[in-house]
Amino acid sequence: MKTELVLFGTHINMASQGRRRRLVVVVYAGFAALMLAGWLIDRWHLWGAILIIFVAPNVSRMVIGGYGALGKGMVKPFLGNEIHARYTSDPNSRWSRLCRLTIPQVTDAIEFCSDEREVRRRDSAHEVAYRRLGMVVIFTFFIAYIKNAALPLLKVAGIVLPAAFFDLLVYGLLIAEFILFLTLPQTILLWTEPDMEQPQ
Amino acid sequence: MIADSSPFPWFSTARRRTRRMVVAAYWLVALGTFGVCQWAEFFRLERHSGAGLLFPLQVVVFLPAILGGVRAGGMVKPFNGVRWVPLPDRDYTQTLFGPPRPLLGSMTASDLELDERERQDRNRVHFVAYTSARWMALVLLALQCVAGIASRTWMINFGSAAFFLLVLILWSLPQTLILWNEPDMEQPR
Repeated sequence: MKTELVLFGTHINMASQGRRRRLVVVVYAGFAALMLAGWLIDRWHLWGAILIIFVAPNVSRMVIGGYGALGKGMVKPFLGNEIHARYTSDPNSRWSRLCRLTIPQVTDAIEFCSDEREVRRRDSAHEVAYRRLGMVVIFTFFIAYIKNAALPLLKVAGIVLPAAFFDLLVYGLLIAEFILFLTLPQTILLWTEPDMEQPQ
Repeated sequence: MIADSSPFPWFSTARRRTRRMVVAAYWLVALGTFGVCQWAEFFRLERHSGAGLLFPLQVVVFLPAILGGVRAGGMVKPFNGVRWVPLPDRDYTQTLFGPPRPLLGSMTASDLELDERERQDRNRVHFVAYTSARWMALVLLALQCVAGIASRTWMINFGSAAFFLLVLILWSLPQTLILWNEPDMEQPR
């Protein structure tokens, strides 16, 4: 993990855990604002959804890092070791030349690759993220199931609940899951990594 | 990572081929159920006609009982310790809270705890599963966008099918990877 974040040319020190946690809070607050904006535009139907689908992955890649091989963002590329190993196996192959052209950092093993401790932390963060995300997905599935299976039964019994509310809830949860899918392992790493040494 | 307490005692869990057969059977049942749900939707059957019940049954009962991972009882050891187990052999009282009692004859909860190497394997498999599921989710999202351009009805139908698939993948992929890739183990003498 990097100790500083470069955002639009500004170097921000991120060595302390407190600062990284503040960054995570700011990023998720930004995503919440983005979801609100999408809802206000057209209830996430077209432009609202497009706004989120285009902005969220870019913010995730530029600020948080992890996924995306360009090495931008706080977290090193998760697949850096695999890409670097393939690159060093034959640096003159067509794939390696293309890789060097599109990802110049691939030659810098220190910046691009993760050590054994980082790989273990990466795997552990993914395990936690998988479990948490699984719970959110199951909750969404449950809401969708209530809407599709239970509402008609309740209607037969004389209880009418607004189906549009359930639709909106499911859609909102799916968008939140999309954002979490892109960011959760990285933010777990940023949140849990202890204070790091400042660069000399 | 493989529990000795197989749900199919007549199969040897030590053999990779057997495990692959069980995984293939599980996915066949899962996708078959999924197909039935889609068929019911397609022919506009009543949504509470029973087809909608098959999938939750699949997710809640078949998955933990066959593949395991999410709780004790399947072929893969529970990923996060034993918190709840269904009625063990020759036991007529369900324990909801407190330490679980011996499972399946002489097997105890401590036998199902993961050691350090198994924890690393579990985390590694979850990384692979997360990365794969992430790509699958993005592909499904792109397909749904294409369906949305074609027709709103297609988008709604495809959206629910894609979400079903994603739930199924999220619940089953790590266990599938473990069972599929774990090499043959030594048979107990």
